[in-house]
Amino acid sequence: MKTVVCVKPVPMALALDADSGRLDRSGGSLLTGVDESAVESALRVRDECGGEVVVLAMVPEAAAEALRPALAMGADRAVVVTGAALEGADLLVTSEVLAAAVRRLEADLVILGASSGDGAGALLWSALGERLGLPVLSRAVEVTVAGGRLGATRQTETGVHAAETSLPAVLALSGEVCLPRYPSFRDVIAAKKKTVEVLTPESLGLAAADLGASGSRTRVLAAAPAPARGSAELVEDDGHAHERVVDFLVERRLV
Amino acid sequence: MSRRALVVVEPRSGRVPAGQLGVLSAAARVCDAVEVLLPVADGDPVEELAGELGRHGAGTVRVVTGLPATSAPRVAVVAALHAAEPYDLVAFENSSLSADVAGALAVRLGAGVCWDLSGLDDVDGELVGRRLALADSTSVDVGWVGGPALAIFRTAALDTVLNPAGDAPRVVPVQVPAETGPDVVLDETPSGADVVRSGLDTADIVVAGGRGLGSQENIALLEELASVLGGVVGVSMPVVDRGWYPYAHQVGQTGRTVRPRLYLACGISGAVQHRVGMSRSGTVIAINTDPQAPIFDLCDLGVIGDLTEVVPRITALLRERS
Repeated sequence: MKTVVCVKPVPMALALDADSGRLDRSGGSLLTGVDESAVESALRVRDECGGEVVVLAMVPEAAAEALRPALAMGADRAVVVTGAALEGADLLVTSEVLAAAVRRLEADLVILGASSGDGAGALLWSALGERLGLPVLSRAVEVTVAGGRLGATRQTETGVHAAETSLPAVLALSGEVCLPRYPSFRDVIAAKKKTVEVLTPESLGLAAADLGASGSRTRVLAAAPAPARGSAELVEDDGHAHERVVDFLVERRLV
Repeated sequence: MSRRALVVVEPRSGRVPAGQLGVLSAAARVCDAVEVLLPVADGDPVEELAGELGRHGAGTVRVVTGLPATSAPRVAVVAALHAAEPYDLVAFENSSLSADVAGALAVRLGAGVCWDLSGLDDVDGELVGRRLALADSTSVDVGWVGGPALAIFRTAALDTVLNPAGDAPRVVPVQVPAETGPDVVLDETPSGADVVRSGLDTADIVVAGGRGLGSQENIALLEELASVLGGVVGVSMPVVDRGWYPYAHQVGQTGRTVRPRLYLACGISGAVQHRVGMSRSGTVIAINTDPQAPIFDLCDLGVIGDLTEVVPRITALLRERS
């Protein structure tokens, strides 16, 4: 059983690049809680079924070290796909690159965290499933893998549903669904020796001309600061703050 | 110029939710020919639904019966319709299902998808999507290269435009292609709360709680205040992750976007992921013990205090005065 976890380290500071209107990814990056949950879910599948856990990300090379904590948690190895041609990649390009890497890794199960905090909508998993010709099980809160099948409890707007499908498959989690294990000092040291393999689009057989901004089917036309809310009235609760709240509701005709 | 749109709706309990009618209104504003894909179950009032869609701008309603609530058959149907006569715009209201459909469609049609839109305009003959990004601090205009433009709109972001004199739309049945590709098998009888029945999307007043609730029991404090105010309870992601309250009530990036007249944020720090779900509310009142909490930057009235003390006192005082 080989599980590939797609993660997306996000910039520590969220800001748009003034020229391109895209997210500035030049600074340091971190794994988010949803990604740690995805890694934990993969490790639990390995605990249960054996096999290997590979962490995969498409990031600028500077962000590759952000995958190290996943290795400390217990992932066997990490793969990053990187290259200048990937800058400005949209959903189509990102899913193509990740699909090529997943095919190379011959995954039985691909796990993604919930939608990332830095921009992308919750679209990547279904785009990836379509590229790979695999079923997609999204919004999972509980996961079981047994007998070549993937089962999950899904949490959606229409309630909580049981769902299942055959493996290989793409699985997307809903939020921080499990508590990531805490690596010991020894795990952290061991993680420094684990491999972070660096791939390029070319090494995956993808033509640079079709990637990045040139291959994207969406574009940012303009970006500007949104109008901010006026400054707030602050009160410290001295036992009477509720009176101010109720008066405020009355002033604004909300009660 | 002539522009064709397909709006994919998902009726619930025999109605098309208001947010989806808003998407239809937005599409009708910038397109000449608007079709709706309407999946129905046995017993759904098809003519009534079609009539309502017609009054919101649909010229043609394509009815498909008995689809499971999964993405693969929807992707196949939309792709087949697009192959028969191409659309310039395919529009959805944000939901788990529409995100799964749109992501796969983007790949199958080689089309760009813009999400989290709160508006759509025609600028010099080109479609331009409007969205707020980065905790709603930045407004971004987005465009599509080639077609169809796939567009996912924020829930509750758009106003519905009613044309009472609108002609009754053409109602056409749609066949599902025989082979719809790999899919999941879904148990269609859900447990837990439904977002439509939760009333969150259309609530005038939302009383929301976060990690600061401290325990599941304290959600009752929010429910009592919501009941006095005639509002609905909302929660942030940590509350749902802890299993304290159903996902159908989650406000934020991975939940719903709401735009009530009053949003009361109790014990919510105001992380980016939550702010995007509520920043366009009318009046925001925040209660938090941490004076540094970012929620105080986007409220109109902030109370630095313990919600478990302040909220019951507000409820009691409102009861006393009513």
